[in-house]
Amino acid sequence: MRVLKPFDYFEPGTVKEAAQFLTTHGGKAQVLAGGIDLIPRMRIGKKEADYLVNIRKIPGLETIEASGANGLKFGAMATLHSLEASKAIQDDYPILYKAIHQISSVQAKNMGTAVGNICVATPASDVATALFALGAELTIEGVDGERKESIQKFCVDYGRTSLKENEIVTEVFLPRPPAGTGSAFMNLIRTHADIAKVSIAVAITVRDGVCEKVRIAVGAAAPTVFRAIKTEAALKGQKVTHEAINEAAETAAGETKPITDLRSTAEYRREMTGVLARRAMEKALQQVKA
Amino acid sequence: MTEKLSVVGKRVPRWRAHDKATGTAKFLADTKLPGMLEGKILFSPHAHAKILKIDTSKAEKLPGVEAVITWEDVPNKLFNPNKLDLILVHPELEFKDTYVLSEKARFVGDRIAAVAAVDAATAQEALELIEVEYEVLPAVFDPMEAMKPGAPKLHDFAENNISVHFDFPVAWGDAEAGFQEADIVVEETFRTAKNHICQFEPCTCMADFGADGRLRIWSPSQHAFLHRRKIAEIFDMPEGMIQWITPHVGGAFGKYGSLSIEPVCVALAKKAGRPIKLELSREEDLFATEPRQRYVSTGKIGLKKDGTITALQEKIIVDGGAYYTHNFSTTAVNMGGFLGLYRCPNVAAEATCVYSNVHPTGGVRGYGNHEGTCMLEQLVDKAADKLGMDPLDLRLKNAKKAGDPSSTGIPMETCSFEEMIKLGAEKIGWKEKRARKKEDGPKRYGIGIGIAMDVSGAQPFNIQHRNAFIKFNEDGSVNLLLNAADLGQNIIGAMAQIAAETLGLNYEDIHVVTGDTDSTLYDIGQHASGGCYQIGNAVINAAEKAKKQLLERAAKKLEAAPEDLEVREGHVYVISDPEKTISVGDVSREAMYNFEGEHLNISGQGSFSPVQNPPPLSAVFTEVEVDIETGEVKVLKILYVADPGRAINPATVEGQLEGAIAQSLGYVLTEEYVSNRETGALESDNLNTYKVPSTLDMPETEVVLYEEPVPSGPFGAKGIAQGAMIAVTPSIANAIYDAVGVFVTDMPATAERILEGLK
Repeated sequence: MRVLKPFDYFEPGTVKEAAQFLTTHGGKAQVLAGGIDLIPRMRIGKKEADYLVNIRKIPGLETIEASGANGLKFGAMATLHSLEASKAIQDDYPILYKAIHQISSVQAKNMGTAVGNICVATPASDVATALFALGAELTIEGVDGERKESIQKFCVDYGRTSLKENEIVTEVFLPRPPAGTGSAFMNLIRTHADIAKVSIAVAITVRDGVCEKVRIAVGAAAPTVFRAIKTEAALKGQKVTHEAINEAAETAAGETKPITDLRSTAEYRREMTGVLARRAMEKALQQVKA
Repeated sequence: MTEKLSVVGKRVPRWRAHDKATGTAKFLADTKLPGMLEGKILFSPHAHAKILKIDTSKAEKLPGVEAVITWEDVPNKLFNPNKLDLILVHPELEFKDTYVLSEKARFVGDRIAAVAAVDAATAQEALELIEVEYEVLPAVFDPMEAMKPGAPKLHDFAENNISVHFDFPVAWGDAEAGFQEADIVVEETFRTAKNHICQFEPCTCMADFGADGRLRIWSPSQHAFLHRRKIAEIFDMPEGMIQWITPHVGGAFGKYGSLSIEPVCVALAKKAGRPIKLELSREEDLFATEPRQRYVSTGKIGLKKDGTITALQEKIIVDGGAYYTHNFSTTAVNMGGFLGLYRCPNVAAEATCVYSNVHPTGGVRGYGNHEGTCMLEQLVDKAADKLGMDPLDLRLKNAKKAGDPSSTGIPMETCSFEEMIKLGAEKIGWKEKRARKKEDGPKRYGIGIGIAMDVSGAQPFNIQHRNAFIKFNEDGSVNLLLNAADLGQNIIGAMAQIAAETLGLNYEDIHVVTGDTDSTLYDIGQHASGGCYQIGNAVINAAEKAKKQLLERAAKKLEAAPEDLEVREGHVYVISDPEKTISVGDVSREAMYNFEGEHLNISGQGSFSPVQNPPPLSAVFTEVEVDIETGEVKVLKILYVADPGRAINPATVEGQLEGAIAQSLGYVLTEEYVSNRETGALESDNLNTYKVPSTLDMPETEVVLYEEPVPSGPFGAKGIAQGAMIAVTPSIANAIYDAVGVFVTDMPATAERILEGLK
């Protein structure tokens, strides 16, 4: 039995109000969205907060808005379940759907949000891995207005983002994948209800057998989720042959900086990044052909 | 057993299932006594340390704190939390080495002090105010290191940290000669997994000294009477001054075969003079209560070219941890399983029990037999490989039959391994699947088998003494009084079915009274799958005595001889003239309320002490798919053929077998108990890091009950629940071996280890 230490609770009605509160209380306040990471951490004393700022009551943050060719936006309070249930996401961003769908905890999906998950900045986030591969762009609001940032710039280091103490991520934008794009998400887990040992998300756009554009995101194999930039650069403009893919997979494995922990070993994570990257690319290419 | 059964063998709702399904069942976590305090335990942060000084004054001054205890406040008396020294034929092999609270910490998690306060948060805060000055001692975490001269010593009596070295007490033949005779010998060393059972309800206990001076303990023990006696010994009280109440149990699996936190709870209640509740967190339960015993074990099997086993030998290092608990008893059972499963003329085994500064282990589902049999069953497959034989044929060649001794040495009344193996092989398509192409891209297919025999109690090694009492109510229903904890195995429901069947009543007519040492008769408790077989016989005995009284009363009313009567669905009939009948209620009521003065509360006390120990039999078939690029094992299907004698409630038996399949999956594939190599602290100390499979990880399962009623069993029943993992575990390991040739010696066989094995 763990006991939460006492804290004050605040429910702002607008993002401005929330940002102002955060400005006043600085590091002593924590933003509460779904709370599935924050509350357990507070219980075990790994996170401290004198104030919790629940952004649930701010109107509009839970929306998911698909605008066809322009892409898709969803707000900070869109739950993992609502994203999973979105027809637009299932049809046009299937790797995000898949990354959420394979999460086994219904409770976590009903309470948890994708934005909350990104802000935790865990390297083992399947959802973030999919969002990296989809080229997600974040809208961040503070007292001085808003700014936009790509997800890979936002995730700075293990558990660390570019978010300032008085800022809130309010929205995520996903550009619509161009025609000729195939994608795949894969991970390795010990049991279904576990955090991934390694996860991979790939989105590849092919024209006339040549890779026009590719994003390869790797989770749980470095201090942050990361894009395998060297691998992507090597593939771009190349014919997507088996040889090219095998080579790319090896390059991707070389881009990891994994650790050994209770879930797996560094060696296994590195090697599996190669295996999964190859399999994911092959699967994505099959989609393009189909 | 030719008579028609009307209650036994039926899928009736299990006892208290409704309460549990609807959430109205009260567990200890839901229970509060008036004036109750909550306790917390201070666990040692050091693997090995002597306490130089403890200052509790700051903790005592914290508002809300009512009592603080250290080793100075508890009886200066050693005990063994394992109850077996009270009933074992060889009590000298069960060492007493544990104090309620210790002056010396021997592992990270050893109990140093405890606090009782108005609530758990205050008690927790007070723990942080206890100032302990430790002299940190060198520690040793590996049994091999611990045995070396000069290694840090844990207990004064144990030279080189060896508590005991013993040979299998009832070996037979000449193992050396047997290996000489053999054409091939296979020998392997295994490191079994120290897994934690992760019962739903973390350890919880309440204790209260009443105004009458009697101590009441509420705890989900498997052995209320034996644990009551342990507490009486530790606290120097007469047994009768203690009432032990067993509430709903949130899972036990052998864990509550030991005292857990009860002694600390009692010591707190004594000091505070108030009722105490002590409830561990999941993390505390994982790092401070007993997981499964770990063995470093070398097994050797010798065979003739035709597959006949000529010799078996086992050498075990018991990695028992900081305290002795079940070291001897699980190991002896391990040997029994390893040496006794097959026909073999020459056997020997020896074991060395070793202390080290790691978490002490206990007896968990399978109780040694799981590890011993698993090792043997894997060796059999390796031997089959070497001989070029089908492992199924090798098993059939050496399988025991009725009349052969079981693993306890007692001749078996029934034993149909051969039929069960053939039935399972037919159902799963063994021959075809064993022969079929094993590749599909990176996937490799495999099929494996494991067989096992377990026990129906611990005859002839322990005292096995059971009692039951039956009394009739005015309406013809009965109260069945017994002391059996429902650990999930539905023992209570099964006993009610047996009582109803024997008495000629309906299942609903049996109202069970249990879980209270004051109102039930003595029982040794729930262990070794002995409940159904042994208590079931006591219940039949009680029911027959009560029925005799019932029929004598009814005979007068019906003007017939008692032997000419029968009872069916709550009515007594004259067999030759069923028109002549009277309800059981009328007979019972009349016996209580009449003006003739011949009063009687129809009742019967039944006892049972076994002579036999019929083993439940298992033959399990597992299909797997192994990914040779990732090392991942996917279990596709498990077919479980079980002989429970008679399934008193088939739904319960199936549930026990399916639950065991889930536990074996975790044991073989994912559950890894990891301690820090430098500090000895448990790192896998929550369910995020220690990975227990869930329903999502379950393969397709099929359970086939091969019921062969055993003459000495109640309606032919044997035990079933404890032994249900034993054949599953090796069948998975053998399927992996068939798929990719990786012989798993270190459990769990994680993807990382399989991949390593493939290189």
